Amino acid sequence: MFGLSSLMTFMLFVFWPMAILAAALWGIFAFQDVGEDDKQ
Amino acid sequence: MTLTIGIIYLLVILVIGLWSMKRQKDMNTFYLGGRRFGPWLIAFAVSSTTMSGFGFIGIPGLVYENGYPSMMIIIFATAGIFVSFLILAKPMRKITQKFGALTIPDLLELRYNSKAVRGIAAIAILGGAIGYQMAQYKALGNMLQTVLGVDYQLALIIGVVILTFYVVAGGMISAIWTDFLQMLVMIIGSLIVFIGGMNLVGGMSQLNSDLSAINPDFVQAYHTTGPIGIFAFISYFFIYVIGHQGQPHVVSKFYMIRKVSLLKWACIIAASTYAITGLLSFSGLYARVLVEQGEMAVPQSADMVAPMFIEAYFPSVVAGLIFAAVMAAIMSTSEAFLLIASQSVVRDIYQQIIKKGEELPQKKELRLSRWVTFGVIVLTFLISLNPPDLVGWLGNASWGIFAASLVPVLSIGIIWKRATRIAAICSSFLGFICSVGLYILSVKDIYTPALDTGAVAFMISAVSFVIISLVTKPENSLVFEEGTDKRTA
Repeated sequence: MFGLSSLMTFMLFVFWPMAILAAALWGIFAFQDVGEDDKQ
Repeated sequence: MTLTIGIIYLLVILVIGLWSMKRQKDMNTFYLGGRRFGPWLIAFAVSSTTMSGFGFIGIPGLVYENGYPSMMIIIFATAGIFVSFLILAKPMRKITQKFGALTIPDLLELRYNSKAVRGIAAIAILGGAIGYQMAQYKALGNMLQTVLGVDYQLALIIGVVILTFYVVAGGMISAIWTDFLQMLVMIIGSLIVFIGGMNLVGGMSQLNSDLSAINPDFVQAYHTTGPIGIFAFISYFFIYVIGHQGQPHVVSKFYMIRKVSLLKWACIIAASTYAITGLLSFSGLYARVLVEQGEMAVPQSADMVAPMFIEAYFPSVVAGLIFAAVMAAIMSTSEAFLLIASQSVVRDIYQQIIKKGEELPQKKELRLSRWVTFGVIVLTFLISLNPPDLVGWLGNASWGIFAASLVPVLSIGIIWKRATRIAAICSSFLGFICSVGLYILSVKDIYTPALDTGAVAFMISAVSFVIISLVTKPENSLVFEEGTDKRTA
């Protein structure tokens, strides 16, 4: 795509956004049960 | 205009330093800001310290020379931020809070019940931080020289004086707030350059076909014949995805957050803002195409690629903003390193090893922290005027030093109960020696491994950590006892 090699296309348009998406998904689903541990 | 914006920026930084000065009480507030920060502040601090002078000035230069393959550093480092949060953030925040730990060596001593592990970690951090600081000073001097139009020595002195003031007076509170401001400037600057430049070269497809005409390797993920081959690609993976967890100036931000549950927002904000600022590296590609077309002058050095491109094609307000952003990138990494170096002297070496853990009065703690920070700045500044070879090597190898000596003991150790003290001592020592030693051997052209020296040292350190842990007797550790961290217990 855009005249890039397939690995570079993957790194730029799949891997990179996926790293951010993974951060978002993990962020939303992790730490739901915080309870006691979360107190200062 | 550039000068005006540069001066406004420096003044704002000074005001933040003054404002934070009043909020300092003891070592905890000086080095950790009292753990009162929210997710935006922590996230911006993580992304702005990861994005150093090298990231903002060095990488566009590398991209100019090598094409897309050098951009892999940015792509992998974004993933590295996510992986670090995933593995370290929660356990680090909880353990440091529960046991009152302030530094990474503190945490390691708790985990392995060993002063030796603390000592080795503190020395590795100090060595890497001082080395890295040299590179930051050089970048700061170069940048201020361009913005203020004074000579290099005077520019460097102005930069260091401002840095000294807001770091020594305001400690971590001013560092985190200036990080926030700096990251905002960096995000705006990067977006303007990315979008403006893309229009200039006629869009993505046009850019890539022009690049491919210059050198077909430029549009690959790694060179088939050039310097950034498949081994560099693999090394980048190890150094930037895995090695990110060992960067003490970055991961120490994890345990300054107000509440564990806020880490979820910090993670996504940090990864995405870092990726946005990484778009500045496209300026290297734009510049290359424009130079080959004869529209832009050939830069004298790789470090001048981004500044020259911006100065040539953007209005002076934008150029001023971007120069402020570059100064921001350099200063935010600098301040983090200065604080981390000072911390390992005051807390890890003086208070815990020399004074054997004796509590100091709050006032004395704060005074000592400030003086040592000041001392570290003066010392690193003096060394930077005429750096010996070893310091330069430590600087170039520092990301690798941190990765090799800290990642296995910290990341594997924090999730794997079977890891033992002997393994931690051997692994962090081996990691430190191998990362510095291999780097020196490769600089001297005696031996150059196919993979990057930092990546090799990391693998040696990680493998030895696991094997030695398995052959030594299992031990119990305080940090895994009931009520610490559910995920690791």
